[in-house]
Amino acid sequence: MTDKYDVIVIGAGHNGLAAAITLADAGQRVLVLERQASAGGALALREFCAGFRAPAYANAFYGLSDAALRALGVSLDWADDDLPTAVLGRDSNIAYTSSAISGVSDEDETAFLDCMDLATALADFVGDTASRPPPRLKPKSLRGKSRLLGLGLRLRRLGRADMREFLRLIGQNMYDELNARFDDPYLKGALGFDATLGTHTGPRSPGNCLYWLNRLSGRSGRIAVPKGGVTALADAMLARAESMGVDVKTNADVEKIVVQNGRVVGAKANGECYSSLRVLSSLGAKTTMLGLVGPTHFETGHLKRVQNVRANGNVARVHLALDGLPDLPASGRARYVSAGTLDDVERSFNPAKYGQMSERFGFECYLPSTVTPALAPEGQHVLCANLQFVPRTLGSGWTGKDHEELFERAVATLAERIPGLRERIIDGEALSPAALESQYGLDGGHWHQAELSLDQYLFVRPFVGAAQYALPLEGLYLCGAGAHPGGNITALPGRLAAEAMLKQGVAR
Amino acid sequence: MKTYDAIVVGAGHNGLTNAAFLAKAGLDVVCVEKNDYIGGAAVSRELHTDWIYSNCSYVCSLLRPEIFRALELQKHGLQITPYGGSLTFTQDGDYYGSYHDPEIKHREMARFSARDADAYKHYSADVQRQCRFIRDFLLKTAPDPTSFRPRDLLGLLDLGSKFAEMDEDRMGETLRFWTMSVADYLNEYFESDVIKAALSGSGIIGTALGIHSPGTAYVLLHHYMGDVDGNVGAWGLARGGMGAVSKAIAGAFQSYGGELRTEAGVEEILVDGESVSGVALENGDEIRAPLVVSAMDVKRTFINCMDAKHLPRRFVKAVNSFKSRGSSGKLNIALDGMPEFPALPRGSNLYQSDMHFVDSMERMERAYDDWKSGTWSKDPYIDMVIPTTTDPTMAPPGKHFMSCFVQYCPYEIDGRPWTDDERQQFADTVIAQISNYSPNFKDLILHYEIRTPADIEREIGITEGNIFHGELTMDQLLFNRPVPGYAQYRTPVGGLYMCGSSTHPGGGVMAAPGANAAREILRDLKRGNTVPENFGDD
Repeated sequence: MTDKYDVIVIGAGHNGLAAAITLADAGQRVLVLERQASAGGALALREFCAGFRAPAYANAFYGLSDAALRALGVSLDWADDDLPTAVLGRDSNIAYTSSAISGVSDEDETAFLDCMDLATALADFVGDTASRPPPRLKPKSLRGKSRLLGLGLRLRRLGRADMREFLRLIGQNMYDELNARFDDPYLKGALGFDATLGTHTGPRSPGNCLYWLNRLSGRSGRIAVPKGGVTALADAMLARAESMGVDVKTNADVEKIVVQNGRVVGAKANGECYSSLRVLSSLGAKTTMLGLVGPTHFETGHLKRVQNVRANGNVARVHLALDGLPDLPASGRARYVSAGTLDDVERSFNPAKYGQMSERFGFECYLPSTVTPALAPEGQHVLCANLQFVPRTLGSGWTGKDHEELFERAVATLAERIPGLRERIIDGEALSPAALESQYGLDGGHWHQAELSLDQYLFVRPFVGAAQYALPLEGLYLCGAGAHPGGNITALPGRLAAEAMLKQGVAR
Repeated sequence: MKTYDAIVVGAGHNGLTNAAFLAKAGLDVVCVEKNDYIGGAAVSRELHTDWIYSNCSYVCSLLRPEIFRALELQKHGLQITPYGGSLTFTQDGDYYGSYHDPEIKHREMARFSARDADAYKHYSADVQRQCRFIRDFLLKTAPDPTSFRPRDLLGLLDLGSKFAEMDEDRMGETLRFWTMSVADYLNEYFESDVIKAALSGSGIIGTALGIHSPGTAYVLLHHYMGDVDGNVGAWGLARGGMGAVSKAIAGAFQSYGGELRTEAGVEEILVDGESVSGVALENGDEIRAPLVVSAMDVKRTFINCMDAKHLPRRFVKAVNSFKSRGSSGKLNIALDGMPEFPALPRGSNLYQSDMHFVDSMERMERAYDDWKSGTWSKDPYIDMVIPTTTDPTMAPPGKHFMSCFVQYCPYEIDGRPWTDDERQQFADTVIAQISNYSPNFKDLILHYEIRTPADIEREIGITEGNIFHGELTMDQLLFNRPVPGYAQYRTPVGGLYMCGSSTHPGGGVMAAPGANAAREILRDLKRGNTVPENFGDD
């Protein structure tokens, strides 16, 4: 064994780094092991073709609150703090931000503003809940009891009308809610798409209103991009961690979490053992428990629960190198969505249920090179798109040919909505959920490493008995998107997990 | 003109139950019904000479035993006979049978998966635990979580402490159970696609959701409750058809001095100032009472039968968005004899079971995809039962009545009304599905009645023909049912109450909404309560 650390963090994504900073802040000696060549996870740049780089699978921040940044001692300058979403469609020129909308009827405009008023009020509650450790269902300690009581009181503090709406909306689906509120089919389609992006649900699936509120939490519905692009967050966090004495080892592929006498004693990466009595894993619960620790170290009940964690990733990531800016509203400085109508989104979800690819994808895309020109050679651009629905398990498994087909279909879908795109493409790549899983260690190729739905939310995330970050093996903790409050770039699971670990006391 | 103490609108099982408990408390009650027969959707009708059709609801599994006893329904002729398990035919010519006898059940399951046969024990125990938890709240009013009234706080405390009786893991499992899909839930226990398909049906019956939609595990429970009563008599067929249930409740109502008036459809619920004053009938008559209880669904009550000016705008909006989607149809068939099912051994008691013809989860879900795209399922899930195998009163000797409940069947085709051709094609789809497993079935058909949700709406009056008077989704359950803030049977109008399945605890021939509403009304009137409490745990 090499140097002894107080804590080893697996994965230098933003959650791994958030955990490391929080721990170092409390005086712990921390080692972060990262498989990729650079830190950042979803935020890290990948050179997908010569001279063109793009963030791996993040585009912008919507769940990242200023308070969460402050807690980590990290600050960012925003290039855009309320980036508009432009809806691309044959006969639509809708664009909306958190507090304004254009291209719709007066009725829809009023409805949108009303809806956002309510949604941001409720999202603030959701965000507040997300920023605190999850209460236990049956707390024994006084602190635990007050945590649960606090949740109830904060819910009450919403006021009667909003509390009623919240209790109704958590079980509601976007399809019905949007139909009750709006007329414009493309506005409804775009919002329905937003509420399903990154999940294995269609607009009609109950519960995705809560997911949408979750998406609006953190920045009250605003989408933000920092100067230097999303990777600036990874750089800032890495710098902060290293300044606090955290060791970050890249190209360190953890193959095993070492267990002795029923507790964690370290991790093994690239054949080398690092010893520590605490390991925080920012990977998913399945990869951590079944892959890195191994099933023999857990009881059957726990194994069953972790195996039953639902994580069916449905988002494919596409990067395109372009020889110039395509013809888009707002000159590329927006988030672009094309999803058709609510029924189109629902229809595109159907095949995913059977492990097939959609006939037509809905997508969102960004041109990060408009904010960070250095991502592409001068005058040229990078386009990043997330497409839905693409199954994680396709037939008997994803082949190279399947990825080629995915790329072709993705380009066809994008080109249909972005005039002149095809002629501008120099090169590109498509990453299926399966590719995201194998390259970035995402359980099920799922953004959230565990479906972010009511049955895997708060008290029971990722599974019953493991919602307080401690996994059922002494010294092992979960600190990634699979833990409360889930995925998106929030930096919350990492910090909350580290705090939970610290509260349990640092036994040797 | 005579003034009554109360008018109950609709003589379905909930309206009658409500009327019976009010009359039992000494109120002068009239129950008005638009049809020339009573029963609503719990009805027996002779639609083909000498054949009695349970042409809407067809099994009696949920009727609360407390109500059965309190209204002495046995005295009024209600007899419930158990039936012989259930059955799913598989496409390879085999079948999976589900028997009451646990030993036989285990052996049969093991034919498909030994692991599943063992897992069933755990599954059954877990589902029963959930049933016991929810059963306690069926005959209670849902507390309002936003209220500070002592009554609501106590109700919440009651709910919370009942919940806290479980250990922490069970509490977590309960939260998951309430929110997950029936497919995910079954996947946690079973591996055999046939067994999972067979069990998943209960999660979607009457529901405009698929087996993969979150929240359907709860619907499973809703259909399981009768089954676990420990009282086999509570799960079965009403002798004489489902009309026997309504008839018995009506008998009780009349024995307490209540008055029934048929062919008395309500045109409008009348409001005088802030309070209800009576009803205007379709035939122009008016009936006066300071108390009106509507057993109609919430949309029909407030949108069709009331002037919106008497109601708060927010309330009307909420009622308008209440989801009441038609998702199920029926085919009721008179048969010249017992159809043969070559897959089944001769003399098997599964001939008395409810039969199904969809043997995989994917087929179940695809049936829902058809509904979503605005048409009926082309490979439908059918819950088929031949009540005459246990009840000889419903057809002449040797002849049979067959009830086919079909999931999914939309209220409209592609957003426009059904054409006659389409109705016929729907029937042909159902007949073909059954014929795949019974070659001589088609030749035995003497008469059949096609019932799409639109037919159910026209005849019974339920909006969009939703058999539960509104979806049983989380946003429409408990304190959210029918709309937040009005989940305690009261309405924005003084003296006007709701007692139909749009209210807690929802649809099914359970009679709990009718009883709960009666309890709340009697409370407001400061009268002695006649509504029974839960029997409590076994």
